[in-house]
Amino acid sequence: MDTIVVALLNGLIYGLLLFMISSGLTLIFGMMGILNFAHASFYMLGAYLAFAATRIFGFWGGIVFGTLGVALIGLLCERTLLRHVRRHGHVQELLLTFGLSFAFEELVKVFFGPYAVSYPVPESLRFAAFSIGAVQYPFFRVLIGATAIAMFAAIFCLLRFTRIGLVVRAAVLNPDMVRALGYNVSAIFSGMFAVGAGLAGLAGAMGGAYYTTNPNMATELGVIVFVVVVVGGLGSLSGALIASLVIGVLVNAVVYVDTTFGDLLAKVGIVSAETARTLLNVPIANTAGVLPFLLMLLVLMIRPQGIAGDERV
Amino acid sequence: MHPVLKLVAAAVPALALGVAAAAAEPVKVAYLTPKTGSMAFIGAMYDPTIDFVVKPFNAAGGWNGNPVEVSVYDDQGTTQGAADRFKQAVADGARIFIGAGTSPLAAQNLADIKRWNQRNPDDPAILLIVGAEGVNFTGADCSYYSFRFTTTPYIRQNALAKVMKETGALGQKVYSLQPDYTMGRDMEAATVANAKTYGYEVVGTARHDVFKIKDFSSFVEKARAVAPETIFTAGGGSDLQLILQAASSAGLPAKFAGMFLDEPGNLAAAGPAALGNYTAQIFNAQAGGEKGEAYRAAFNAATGRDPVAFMSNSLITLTMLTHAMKQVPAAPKLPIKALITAMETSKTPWPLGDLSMRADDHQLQLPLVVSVVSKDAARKLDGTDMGFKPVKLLSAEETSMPVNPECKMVRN
Repeated sequence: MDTIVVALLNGLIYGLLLFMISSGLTLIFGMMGILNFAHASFYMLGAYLAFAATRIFGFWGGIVFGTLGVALIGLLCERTLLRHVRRHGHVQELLLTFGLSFAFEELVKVFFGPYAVSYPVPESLRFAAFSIGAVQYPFFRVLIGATAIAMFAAIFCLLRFTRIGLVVRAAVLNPDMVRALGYNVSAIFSGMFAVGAGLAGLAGAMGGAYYTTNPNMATELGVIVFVVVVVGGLGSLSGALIASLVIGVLVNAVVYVDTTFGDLLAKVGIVSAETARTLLNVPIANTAGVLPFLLMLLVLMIRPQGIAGDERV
Repeated sequence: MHPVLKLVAAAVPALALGVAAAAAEPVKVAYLTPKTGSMAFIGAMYDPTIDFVVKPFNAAGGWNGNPVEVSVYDDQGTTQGAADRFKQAVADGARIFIGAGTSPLAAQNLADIKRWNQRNPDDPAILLIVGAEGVNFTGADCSYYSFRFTTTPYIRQNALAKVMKETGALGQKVYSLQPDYTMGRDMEAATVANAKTYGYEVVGTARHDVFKIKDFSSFVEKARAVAPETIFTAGGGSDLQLILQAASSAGLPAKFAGMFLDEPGNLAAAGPAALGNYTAQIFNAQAGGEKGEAYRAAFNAATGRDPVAFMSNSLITLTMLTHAMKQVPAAPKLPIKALITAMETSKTPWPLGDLSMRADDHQLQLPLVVSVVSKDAARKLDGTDMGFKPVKLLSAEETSMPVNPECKMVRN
């Protein structure tokens, strides 16, 4: 029982971290139609900026600096680069962000070296929030989860219940009309991009401390974040939340499964017992890393617009 | 360094030596390693080692007056890159190749070498494998023209289990948590195979995808359920850092025994989570006494850092290569087969004990140091207050494992 609760909790919190990163990606896509391949790089930059600032401003100052710094970098990317290729279409935007992701990775290596850096959770935050059986549940994990939930609530309320949200949503549906009404649509888009990047920066600043901060952290999460957004439905914030939690719980729970793919398929009767023992003798527990992709495949086959996506996609 | 820069760097002192040196034909060595891409951290380790060995060798006259010229080629961590750089290097005139990457890269290098040698039997090339630990390189794929300058998971697991058993650190219950590719599978097989010899029970095994898992907490909880005392892992890089983090923050009361804990950045990234864990090291200055300390100090003075992880393998490779060259008599062109023979027959001095290359399978016979991460270590690493405190130094005879029966070497 204890094990199940811990597994579920671990999965949920990992899912929430995934949501923190993917929310910005799905926001930017939903609002601006940009599929930002550099989004996971913003996550990495958040961690590195926070790491660099921790020495001067302390841990919390570092987190704030990482978030705002990445938001600023996002703003600059939008203003100086993306804006100029927008009129050529979405493919050009996609290629540009793809290039940016390489540039950011190599830049990080130039400034911080090719190895992992020491950006740990401070000693004062290393304590158990509560215990379940023999497991002392770390406080920082709970903090990551709580931040993600607060973030979701804040974005949701901002878009749904405020005047800014109203204008942003209107700008997405009909930018020309909003412009005609006297709103600065290009500033709204820049702001959206900065917010989306900043959210990834915040996730990086916290995730980098809890996990590790190294030049590969963008590559590690880059693909899975896309899986989250596709499964959730491109552009849908609540879809991204559901998909993150599903994937988080799934990859955590599968580790406990003590059967192989062959056994599973043989039981259903798709393959013979012989094939199950030889060719398909792959323990399901070993597939935690590829399972999200399987899920994406299923979603694309059965419901191509994703869990909560609309018909535009 | 860019190959061209390297070339220039090697050429300038050669010019300075004047007419005699200008007449000497350099022996070209191609160093294939990832310098960009996600595996760039591997290539970054090797840079400082090249000049440290090759410069003094050339200053002392090189191979019968011919300087050794090492050029670094960036294979970008991909097999396609490795194949392209091989073609480039062989066109540049290199016949000695140092493959310093992962097992898939080394497999590509080996395939390229074998093809070249089939087509050019009179002008063969050799491969010196620095970092690939897959059993096949000295097993089914062993070759007269390739040499392995590191261990296999069997060698490291055996060394770890042996020493940890002696000191009572091993315990009765052992768990195996491995990256899911050849090396991890070898480590798992070694852990299971040694259970009787060292009197432990394997209470569980698990494998994880390589560099794809961010959150290892479920693996840690799964292990906790069977209460292991020691967990063997062949994981490296960020996988290892994440595993240690997850185990430490969840308070898992087991120690880890691994192979790559001393890679640069691992102690820094894992923080206090690294303390108390064991690793089988290629080099540890403290274990080498005065000689070891002198070697470390000289390396640090020349490069600004201590040799760790695969840097030591690169140092061993270059030291053994240059040592073997000294025994090859002068000729218009370095005779590769004479070099192979010299490599197989000579004993090379090394601060921890003599090194040799076993002729039967071209597996390096080397001393290993089993160390524990501790705050009492003589040398602290990565700007932390931790380092590797040697538990025991095993001689080359003690670490040696029998020749793999799958190795059928054709000697020609």
